[in-house]
Amino acid sequence: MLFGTRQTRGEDDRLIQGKGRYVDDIKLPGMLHVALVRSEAARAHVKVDVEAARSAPGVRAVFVATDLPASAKILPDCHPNPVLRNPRGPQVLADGVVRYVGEPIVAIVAESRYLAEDAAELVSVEYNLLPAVVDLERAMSDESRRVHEDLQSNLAARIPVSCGDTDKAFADAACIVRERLQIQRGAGQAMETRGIVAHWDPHAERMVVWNVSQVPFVHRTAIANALQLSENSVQVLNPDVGGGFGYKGLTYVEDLLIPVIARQLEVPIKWIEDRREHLIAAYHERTQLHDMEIATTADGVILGIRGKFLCDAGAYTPWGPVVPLLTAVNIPGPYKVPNYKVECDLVYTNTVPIAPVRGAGRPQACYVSERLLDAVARKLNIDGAELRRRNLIQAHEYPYDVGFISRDGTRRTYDSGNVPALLERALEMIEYDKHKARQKDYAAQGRHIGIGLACCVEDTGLGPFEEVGMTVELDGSVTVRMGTPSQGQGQRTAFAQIVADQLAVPFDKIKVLAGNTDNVRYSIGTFASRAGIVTGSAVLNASKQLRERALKIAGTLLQASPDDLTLEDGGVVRKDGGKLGRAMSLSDIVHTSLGESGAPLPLRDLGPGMSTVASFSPPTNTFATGCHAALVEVDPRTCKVSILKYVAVEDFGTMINPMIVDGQVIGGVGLGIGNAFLEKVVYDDSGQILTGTFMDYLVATTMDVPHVHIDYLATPSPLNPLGMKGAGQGGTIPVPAALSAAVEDALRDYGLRLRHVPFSESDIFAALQTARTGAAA
Amino acid sequence: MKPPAFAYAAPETVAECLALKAAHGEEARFIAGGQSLMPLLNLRMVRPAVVIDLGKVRDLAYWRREGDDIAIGAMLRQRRLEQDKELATALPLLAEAVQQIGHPATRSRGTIVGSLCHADPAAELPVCALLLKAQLVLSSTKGRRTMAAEDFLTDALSTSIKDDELVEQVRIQTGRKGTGYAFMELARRHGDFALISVAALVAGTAGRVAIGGLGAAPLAFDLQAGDIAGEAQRIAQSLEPPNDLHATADYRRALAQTLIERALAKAAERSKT
Repeated sequence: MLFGTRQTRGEDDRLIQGKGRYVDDIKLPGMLHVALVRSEAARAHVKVDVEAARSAPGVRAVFVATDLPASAKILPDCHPNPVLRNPRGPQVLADGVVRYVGEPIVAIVAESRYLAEDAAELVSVEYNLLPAVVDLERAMSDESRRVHEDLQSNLAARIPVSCGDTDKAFADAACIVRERLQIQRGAGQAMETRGIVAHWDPHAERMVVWNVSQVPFVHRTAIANALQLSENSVQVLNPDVGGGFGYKGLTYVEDLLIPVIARQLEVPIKWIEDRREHLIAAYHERTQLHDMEIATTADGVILGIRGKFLCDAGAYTPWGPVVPLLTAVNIPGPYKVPNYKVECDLVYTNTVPIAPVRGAGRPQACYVSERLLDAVARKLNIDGAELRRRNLIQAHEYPYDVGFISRDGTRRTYDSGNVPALLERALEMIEYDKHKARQKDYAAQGRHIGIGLACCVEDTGLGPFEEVGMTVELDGSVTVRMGTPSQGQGQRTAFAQIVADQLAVPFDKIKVLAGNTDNVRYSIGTFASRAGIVTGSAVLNASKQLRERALKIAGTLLQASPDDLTLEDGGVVRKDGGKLGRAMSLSDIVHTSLGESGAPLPLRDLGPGMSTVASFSPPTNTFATGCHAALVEVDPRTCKVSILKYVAVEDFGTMINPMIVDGQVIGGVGLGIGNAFLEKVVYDDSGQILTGTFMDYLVATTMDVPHVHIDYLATPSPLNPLGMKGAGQGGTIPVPAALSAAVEDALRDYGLRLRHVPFSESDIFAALQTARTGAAA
Repeated sequence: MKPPAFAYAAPETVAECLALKAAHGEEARFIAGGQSLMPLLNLRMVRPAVVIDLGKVRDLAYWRREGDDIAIGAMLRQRRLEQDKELATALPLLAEAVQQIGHPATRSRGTIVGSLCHADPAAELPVCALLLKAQLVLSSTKGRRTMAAEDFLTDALSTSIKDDELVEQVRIQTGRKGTGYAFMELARRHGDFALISVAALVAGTAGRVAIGGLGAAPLAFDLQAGDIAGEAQRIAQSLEPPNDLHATADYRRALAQTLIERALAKAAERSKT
């Protein structure tokens, strides 16, 4: 069995030797390069003069909004949802009005990117500045400033989620804690930025696009609609892709713009997003402001959670209300919250649009519920671990009905889980009792050491389906075709492990093909921790079909019952170990069943060859869970935080390849550490973005991510045949909550309270001063 | 993030470098390790007509003893402070500070003199140069002059260099017996520019600190009293550090006080061994 084992990734030899082929490696004859002129104002009416740019050296064309066809002026909402009462799609090129710094206004097409950037400087944009909407609360109160002047207010959506009777719960409560909690803006920073090469093939009459998409079929439809072509006249190809973070699973205006230019000019066009463009103009996430309260009994048992939060939409809603919706449904987490009522306002501001980035609304939810629990623990003087024990859903209570409708429209039901066991394992690994008992001794030595805990759920493996094509080739090797491309997750290894077990074919004889929309007929894509589960289950189904078919063909040829046969070492053998009439490899089966050219098919009832298409459709999401524990030391004078130990105990159900999952967890924790301490997009009051380089927007590096101690406990999911749950985001979600709690615990004698993430040394210093002033007053 | 067009020259002698600089003046920029200039070019924040690459000038990548000083040529890489034991022993403060500069990859390219010339207000080497009263040798076709670091470092990203000059060499006093040195800083991440950095030396009852991360040129202070904590407080109170994305002025002042205190204590301890 290869399933469940630590197999070295088949991808890595190629990639670490520099043999990968990324979108910027695609070079076509006659290819031209695009540079974009982006808005320097957050909110303004603009007039554009491109004449000087048109005659600049090497410039072949200049595109402004009026040059675009009607079908490609506005990016369609790729995730429509009825709660989004006022959707507004991004302008492919700004037409008279700009709504955030970085919004594209003009596209310059030139012989090189250098010349295109030179010409971009010659474009004159006259800005008639309007006051910008930046602050979330003001955006909802100040009627005079609207991001979209045709709307009555800046409200994009109002999202209510509730169950039970919170009024009664709060009336009955022995303890009520209110908190104002803020999660600040961050973004995904993959090693490879976005990029597109588009080529109109006049012979095939087809638009061929190479890009970094996590959702090539979504992009194919969007491009086809923009160009008014049939989908079979568009092919989207994803070469090697260097990281996704979710933001490559979204559609951007450039995804339409570059193919439109390539179609109009009938020349191959390349646009590679540079890091500055990525920082100032690719979708951000995270910004939310919560006013939440929790009600408990005197023993700390949760009676209810209620409150409101604001979620920043940015200037447009390219991906519907997914982020705030996910936050709203995830706040109860793995805890029993019988009465729950939240309302979220999704608010337009003159900033980069918000769309899912790894974690996708859940780190905010986890931060809110865990911070509320820490506040209750402090108020009732109950140990944080004990308080969580009292409130976690117990193993026997799964499947657990949370009580409200989930993001996918089904009743939110946790399929399986045992978070109490995850918590106990995390406590053991972090040596919770030992360190808690020693905290006084540490303090006597002048050391300030604290522990933080956070538990989370993650809805993973969402529907509706994935399709897989599978063929046994004439030489007995296997080709697997799918629609969910890799951004580095190890698809080629993991899915081959599933096939190898079913077809008894050596691992290195299985070729997994993804990243080409011609491979399969339909697909959704790689995001929301779904490909492993949904595509993986389709791979299993296809493998089983071919296995059954191989046994049936062999049985017919050998005049044996398929029930007496099995597959071993790339061929058919008898189950009882007896000798077959003749050896029959998968290659023999394919050859025989395909027959001879010109002759009748030998097995007319069974049809030719060993090829199939299968799919899988999960009934609803499966829920991964996790518990993280952090041991930190803080220097109260410099406010420097050192992570002494970090523990992640995860329940991803059964895993295909735990080594690949380790990588997901470590990378996830790295982003979580960034979200806790470092990664912060900053706008000033006029809507200027101040974090336009990696000197200002800080990402956790290998120097900042400690060794992550990982363990897994599995409660297999009943919702897919292999019992899998998604592992893409669990590493990230609990980190800001756990680290906030740990730092507060380390400086508990100073009364430190942290109410926002990320927090810097300087923020801790300011919070300590607040605590001191508060204590004095 | 592509630079605007510029002419590129790669002369092989100092004389050629100086002639080119004399001809092009402020339109020309020298490039040594390129760790500061390349990003500035790519962001189009500098637009030199000519970039003069010092990389092919063989007789600039040296260090040698000159009396009590170490003379360092304009092309000596920062990495040499880590890899060359003799140099590290001769310049203990710089050897300690260099660990905080970027990462091995950037130190393999970046030069010591280049960092002094770029004069980032949060860079480590200018703080060391100021503490140790380093002397910079500025050359032009008209001749050569020597200037103290204190006079050279005028403000953030500003120096007293003239349009026709090249900083050919920096001279730094070697570590003295009976003197202890220490370098401390705090950055958001290891390798980032410091929020505050402090270089300190203590010899008997005498002491001196230099402080970086102030948003302007680094500042140096000679100790007036033996009470380290009191001196740290006095000096920190006099600082006017910046408020920026990464830290407030109040925090920086408090951090400076802590780091001055700790660096002086460490230097004092080292002075005794």
